[in-house]
Amino acid sequence: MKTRIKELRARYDMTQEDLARKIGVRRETILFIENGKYIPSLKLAHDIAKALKTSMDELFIFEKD
Amino acid sequence: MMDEKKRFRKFIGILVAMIVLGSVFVVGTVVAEVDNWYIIASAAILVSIAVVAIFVAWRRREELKSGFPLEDERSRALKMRAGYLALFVSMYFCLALGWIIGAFVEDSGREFLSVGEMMFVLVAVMGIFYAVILAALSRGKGAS
Repeated sequence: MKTRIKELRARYDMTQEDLARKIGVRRETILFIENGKYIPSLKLAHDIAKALKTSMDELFIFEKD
Repeated sequence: MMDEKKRFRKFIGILVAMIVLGSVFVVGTVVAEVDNWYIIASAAILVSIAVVAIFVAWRRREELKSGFPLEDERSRALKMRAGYLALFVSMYFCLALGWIIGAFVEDSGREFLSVGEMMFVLVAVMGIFYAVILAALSRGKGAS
């Protein structure tokens, strides 16, 4: 799974810490999601998408097997 | 944020209770005049718990002050996975230890740890497994 979190963070001039604070998670969680090392729950994915003013579809890219 | 402060206070309460209970245990071993081995081991465990507790409490306080939660879904998932893995690894460790004792120690007449000492070691080993597995999972792809 790939994400566009980094790209969208840059668009809104947001650091990982800013985003983590905004959605109430630890900074490492954002780091691991960005690197594709942690797959967030549906609720967290929704919160991230909302914080970055986008949709989950736009934010997460699922690669076909 | 209020919930986080409550959670932090609860966490500090648990740490204090652990240290107080540990101290009672150490004092108990001294009063009961048991083997020095028990007194030294229980005091060493108590000191290690106290040192780790102070460090963790300080770090969590800093995190709380900078607006981060003490726990989130990833850290909860990691703890659960580490607990489950530590349980299984400890079970295999106990089986292996039992086999080694049965095969090489029991009939040889050599002295080995008593049942009480063995319990002590096994609980300590389980704790160490948990801490090591949690640290390893935290750095890798552990919770997915």
